[in-house]
Amino acid sequence: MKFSKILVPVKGHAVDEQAIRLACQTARQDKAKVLAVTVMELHRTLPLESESPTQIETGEAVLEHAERAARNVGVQIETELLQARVAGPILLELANDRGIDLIILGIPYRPPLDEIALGTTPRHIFRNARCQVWLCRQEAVPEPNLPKK
Amino acid sequence: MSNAVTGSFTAVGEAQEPHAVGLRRAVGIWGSFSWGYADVGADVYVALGLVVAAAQGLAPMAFALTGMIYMFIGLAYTELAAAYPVAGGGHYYTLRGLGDLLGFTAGWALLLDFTIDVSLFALASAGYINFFFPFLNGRVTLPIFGPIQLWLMIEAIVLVVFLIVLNLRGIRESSTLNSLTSAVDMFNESVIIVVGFLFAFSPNLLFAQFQTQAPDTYHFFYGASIAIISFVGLESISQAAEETLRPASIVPRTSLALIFTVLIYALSFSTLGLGMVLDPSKPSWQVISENVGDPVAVLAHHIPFLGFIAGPFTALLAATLVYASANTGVMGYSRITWSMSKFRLLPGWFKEVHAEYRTPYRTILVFSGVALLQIILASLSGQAYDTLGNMYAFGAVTGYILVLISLIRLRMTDPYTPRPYKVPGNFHIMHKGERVEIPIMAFVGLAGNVFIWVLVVLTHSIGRIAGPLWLLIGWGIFFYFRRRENLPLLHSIPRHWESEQMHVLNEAQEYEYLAQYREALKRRDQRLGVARDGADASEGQQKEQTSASDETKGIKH
Repeated sequence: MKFSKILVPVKGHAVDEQAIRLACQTARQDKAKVLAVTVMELHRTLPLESESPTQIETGEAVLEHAERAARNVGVQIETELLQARVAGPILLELANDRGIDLIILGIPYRPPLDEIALGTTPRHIFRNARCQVWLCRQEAVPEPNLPKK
Repeated sequence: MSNAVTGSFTAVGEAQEPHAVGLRRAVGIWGSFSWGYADVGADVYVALGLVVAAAQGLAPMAFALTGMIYMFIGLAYTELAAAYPVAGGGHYYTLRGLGDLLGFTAGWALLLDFTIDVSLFALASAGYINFFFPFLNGRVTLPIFGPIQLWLMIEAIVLVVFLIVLNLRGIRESSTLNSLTSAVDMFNESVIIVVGFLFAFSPNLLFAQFQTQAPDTYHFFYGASIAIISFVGLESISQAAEETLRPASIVPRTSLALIFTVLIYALSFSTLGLGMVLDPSKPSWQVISENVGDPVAVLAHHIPFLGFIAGPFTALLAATLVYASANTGVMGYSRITWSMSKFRLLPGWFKEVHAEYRTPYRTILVFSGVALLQIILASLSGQAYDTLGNMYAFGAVTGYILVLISLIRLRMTDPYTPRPYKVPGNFHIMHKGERVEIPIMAFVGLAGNVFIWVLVVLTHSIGRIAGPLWLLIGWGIFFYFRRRENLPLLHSIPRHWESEQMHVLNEAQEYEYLAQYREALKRRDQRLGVARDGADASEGQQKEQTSASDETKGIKH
């Protein structure tokens, strides 16, 4: 199966880079386009239109990091910064609007909380996405050596 | 601020331009309805006991009288929220219609209501929790203040402190849980009403109460004026509108459904309560008024067959729902304060967002502090529910009067904004060369609200002092701030509402209404002889206006 448009949600985790690399490799192979998106989630005590310069700055940095990661493997990607209450439905809406046919989710490795570690956004995407969803979990970090008793 | 879901993409190798921030609305039909229901739907749990205690055997009439007035306000909010789907609600409509000072007044009055939303509903939640621990409703005699419900007060304070912590830390409530609670609540209320009317309701008993248990005129009108609190929370319609995708088509439907659902429940509970035997030794209204903290649970407890389970279940559900409603109060005053700061009606100090938790911590702390103070003062008065109910009614009616006047005024000054829903019953007049529709119902609603406002002032011993005092404090802050910032005191700051409206319609993806709006403005400009070079020029001008407007309002791009 060939893909034409790949969406990679990024949040500033170390695993973002791996997800972007995977997307870029797939894109190069299939001649697809890659769109990296970061969603700034806003608490309900603030109106949807309120803007926070520091949060925007952080979002910009996350996207720039994604662009750098793509540039390192020689692929040009598109990026977008969104603001919403919750990320999951917004990412799917975007995927539908843009005709995305693959979503690649980077998931950080958090061993003690397997179920919860997946997070609400990936769970929402798994359940509701129309297109294919690939999971790119960060490699397991070895347990630190505990001092002997 | 950008429009932009279609926003800019940064190509590799190019200079790094800042990204446009695309705002995304995501609330759908059920989300929009349940948002409003979580706020307004909880009111009956609090109001029933207070209204029945005052209006006694004529409580259903008190609800019906106020319910009619509420319908007019609800229709006005429906029209305005669909036409102007922004965060500010009543204060925004008044600001646009009547200018800065009255816009501030409406916002400040509604702020009072949002703080009371927190204090009264936290108290009510504690009351329903005490259905299981009735000893906590006991009174403790304090020197000077006499007997007060000390434990209830402490429970309410703990609940509010918990809300403060949740909201300061930006912990998100689950929207799925909210929707589910609303659905379960409607099901539960419907079951109580249907089973109650089928198996326990006696029309003879109801009519006997009308005839033998009618209150004096003072108490009836007091009950009617306090019944308005069963319907407070219409601001939530506008708050939901800000987040609803395609609000023009969704908001009128959900809003009308909400208005009638709440009205039906309020009328049904008051009628059922008086037409049921709750205690053979005394009239039903007396039993309800003795349980002012958990009236609906007591009612549910007495319905046949299901009462043994419906009572505790309703108490649990009510405690949850009214607590969720208290939380909407925190969100309400945070947002309205943000909007008032944005339009320079309040100091920008309130807009400060916490660096780590990304929440408006100053607003939350200041107004939650006010809510805590209200709980303490109202509890010390010995009649906590009644005192807070008085204030709630004052704030709501003051805000609603200004909203209704704004509706009429905006029909005249801004006939160009498309109105997906219009308050019915209009007559036409020519105003500045435009044919405008004047809503008769808004005048009727206005008269009704002024009537309720007069009742509040005449019959509420605390409301008539504390309400105006709240307004005086607000005006003091307003004038001090405007003077310090060298802003006009009595006049309004010039704003570019047209570009703002285009921006809002574009962001809401209401492209059809945006085109209609542009067309209406173009026709007006042609009529007035203003030269424009077609749509492109208009768009260019829009951009210029937007930046000029945003400079005025202090919006950062």
